[in-house]
Amino acid sequence: MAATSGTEGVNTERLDIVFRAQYERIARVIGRVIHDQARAEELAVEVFLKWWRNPQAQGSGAEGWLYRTAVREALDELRRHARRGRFERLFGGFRETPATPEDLYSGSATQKEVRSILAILNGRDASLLLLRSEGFTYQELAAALDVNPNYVGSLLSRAQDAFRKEYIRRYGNQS
Amino acid sequence: MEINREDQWVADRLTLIEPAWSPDRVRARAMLAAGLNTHRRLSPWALTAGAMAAVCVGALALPQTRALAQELWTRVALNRVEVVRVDLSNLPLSAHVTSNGLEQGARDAAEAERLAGFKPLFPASVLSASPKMSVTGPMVLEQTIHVSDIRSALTKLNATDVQVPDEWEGVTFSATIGPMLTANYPGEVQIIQARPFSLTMPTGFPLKRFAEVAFRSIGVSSRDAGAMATKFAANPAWLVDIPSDELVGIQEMSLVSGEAVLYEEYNDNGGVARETVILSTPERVYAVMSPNRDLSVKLASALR
Repeated sequence: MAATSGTEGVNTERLDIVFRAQYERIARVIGRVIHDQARAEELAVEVFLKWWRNPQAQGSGAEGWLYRTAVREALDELRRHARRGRFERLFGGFRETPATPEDLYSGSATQKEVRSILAILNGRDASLLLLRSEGFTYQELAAALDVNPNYVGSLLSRAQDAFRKEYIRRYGNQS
Repeated sequence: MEINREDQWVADRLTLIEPAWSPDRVRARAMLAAGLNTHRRLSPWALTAGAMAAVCVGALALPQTRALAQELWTRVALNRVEVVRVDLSNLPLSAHVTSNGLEQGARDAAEAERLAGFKPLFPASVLSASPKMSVTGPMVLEQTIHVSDIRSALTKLNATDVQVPDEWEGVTFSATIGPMLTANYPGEVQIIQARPFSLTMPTGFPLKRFAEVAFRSIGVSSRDAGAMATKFAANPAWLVDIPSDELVGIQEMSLVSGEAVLYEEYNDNGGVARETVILSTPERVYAVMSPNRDLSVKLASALR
């Protein structure tokens, strides 16, 4: 990948460097939302291609842009599939084989519950929870989500409260 | 330290969705290289996901007379669309797909027509571009009643007044969906069309009563469940089920091409993310999506 994209404004060598540095982590973040590995990896690659095609994303905040976009793409995909799941189920949930697309996207029942809550939280809350669970430090969270590092703890706490309340409201406290 | 305030209960649940796989860097590199030379590619399932989502359906129908029921035994066409603010995915029914609804690409309208089994309509007067087409399905879905599951769901909801007859055990409904033809246009415009879905059910089965019980089993109040079931009995419909806590805009409208429902989705910033018009006619059901309300309505109006 050494060619230069004249219209899209960045040398693929830079894409290569960013890809090498961030791909696995990006794929894992998306993989937390999208159970199916193949689709998660497709989405991860699409995130890099979007970055490559968007010169405005290629400044000093490139890393943050990548993670914000990755989480958003994953959640959008999950929401689309949740809606599609309702379409396909008609009036019930698939519980038998063959696996449906929703099975592929949602995984086990408990995983599905967790993902369904992430899908209905606001984007920043879901991003904070996903990236924190992937091991991001507060500094990394601040950079990825473009927020003041001093507020990350409070924001994270609020996001966790929102998750907990919504989860218990929907599924009860099954601990 | 701030980290001590973190909620372990939440963290434990988020751990459950940690991927069990390791990213395949070699495959990813191949996809990246391919992507540098091509337009964005969506997976086969993703191609139709958006539109299908908007046409999410729950199908319940009650023949008015036994003679009608006999006549409609094999195929009840559901060509009316109705939005209900419930989550039908929680219904305690056992379901499975008996065909997988694979997607096939179509080079042109003629091939799309051959694959879909019907002549598709396109809004050529509004969009001159040639769409990228594919055909999905048909899918046959079967759902079976297990009395114990329904009773269990009702018990959890303290709906103790609802009786579930033993003789409902094992009753199966079968729904045929598609083939569905998807046309993707530039600018995030997507049109899906299909013949009205059909529902097969046992003749004489008290479907109105069952519908009422089913709605109760997902938390609908007694009064509302009764009203909803009665409405189905009077006029079978596709149900677009949208949970009450999902923030969307819904508007029924009459277009020159037929009766329609506008379904407006919002992004995290409160802006409109997508405008979907679900149009139903006696012969077809369409879902028309675009980022713009006027465009979606204009496209749907041109489908005639």
